[in-house]
Amino acid sequence: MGRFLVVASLAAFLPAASAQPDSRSVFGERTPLLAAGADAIRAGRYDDGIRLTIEGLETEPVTTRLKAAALANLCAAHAAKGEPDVAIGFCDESVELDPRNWRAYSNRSFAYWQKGMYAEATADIDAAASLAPSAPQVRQMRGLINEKTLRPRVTMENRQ
Amino acid sequence: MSPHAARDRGRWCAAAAIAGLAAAASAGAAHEADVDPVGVWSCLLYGESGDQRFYLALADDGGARIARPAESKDGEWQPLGAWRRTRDRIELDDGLNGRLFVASAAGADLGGTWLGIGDRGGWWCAATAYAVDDEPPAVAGLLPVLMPAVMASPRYPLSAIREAKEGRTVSCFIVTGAGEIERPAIVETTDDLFRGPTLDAVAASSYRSWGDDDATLPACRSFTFELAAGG
Repeated sequence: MGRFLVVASLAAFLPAASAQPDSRSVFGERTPLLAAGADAIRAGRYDDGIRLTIEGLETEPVTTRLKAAALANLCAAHAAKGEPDVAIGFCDESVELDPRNWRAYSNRSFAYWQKGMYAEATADIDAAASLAPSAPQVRQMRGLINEKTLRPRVTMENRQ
Repeated sequence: MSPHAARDRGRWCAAAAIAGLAAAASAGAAHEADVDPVGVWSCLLYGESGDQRFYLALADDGGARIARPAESKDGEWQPLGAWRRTRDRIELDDGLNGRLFVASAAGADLGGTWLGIGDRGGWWCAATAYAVDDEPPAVAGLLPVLMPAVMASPRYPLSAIREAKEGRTVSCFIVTGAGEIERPAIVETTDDLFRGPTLDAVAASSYRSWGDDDATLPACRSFTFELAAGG
């Protein structure tokens, strides 16, 4: 039951946070497999998305920036599947290719969060926030980190 | 600046600042019947300089008198100032201490916030059966010490944790002689997120029995919501 809830909440969180928002505008018509892969990931069909994205990377002409975006999507899909170590590897590659892709930082932050590595998750979400300060996904991710790292305390005082 | 000008400016600032607090206090009570402030009230005042109990007599001619424990013991009222009703609130000038008291006009109990020069706080009053023309009620009514029986702690709202929000609330209420809490209200809050958990906690709390069935005392409880790093 607990595991189901975790998976459900990840699935609800990640599609919005991870894959490029408009696959056609990002990947274009010359990379239909990458576009279809992004759409599949956003729809929660992670295995399909991973397969299509890998095929796209192997067969379609991509710029460095597009490759970084595709790797960030693979990172997102694996994180959503609960495979943070695999996800982090793809995000590392993506960030190395395009240090301006805030989604790669955001996705890697989520993967670190899954592993309980909250300092690393915070560093990555800070990096994402510096590139996309108003992105709702950044706020969501920061909320998840706060939930795990901040200890609430309520002090009461009687007045009479 | 003359002393009068300084005092007037301080009072204007006080009125402006207190308007916000009173709005917070009255927002949740907009549907309640208006309180009739004329009468004798058993009151609690809290602030940074401490807490104080006193009786307050509000006459229908707009006059206000106070009886703190010493005056109550002597059976004497002390002139305090004037009170007035505005559209949705009641204001009371405390000429003795240079304070302005503001209360929501809604609800069965009288209270809200007060502001002086360099100090601020809240106040809450329970109605008494005494008439304005009577001597002050017995000082014994100001002396009971309320001992908590159950102090329920509010839950920290998850949304506040996610947004890393800290804050403070003060709830005031009436404590019956049996120690039950009645009509809890929010007097101060830094964020509406904390309103519900505060009221839930107060409603789940109680005091030890301290008087007979008809006795009532006002009391308040402040809550500080804090977040510490290190999960």
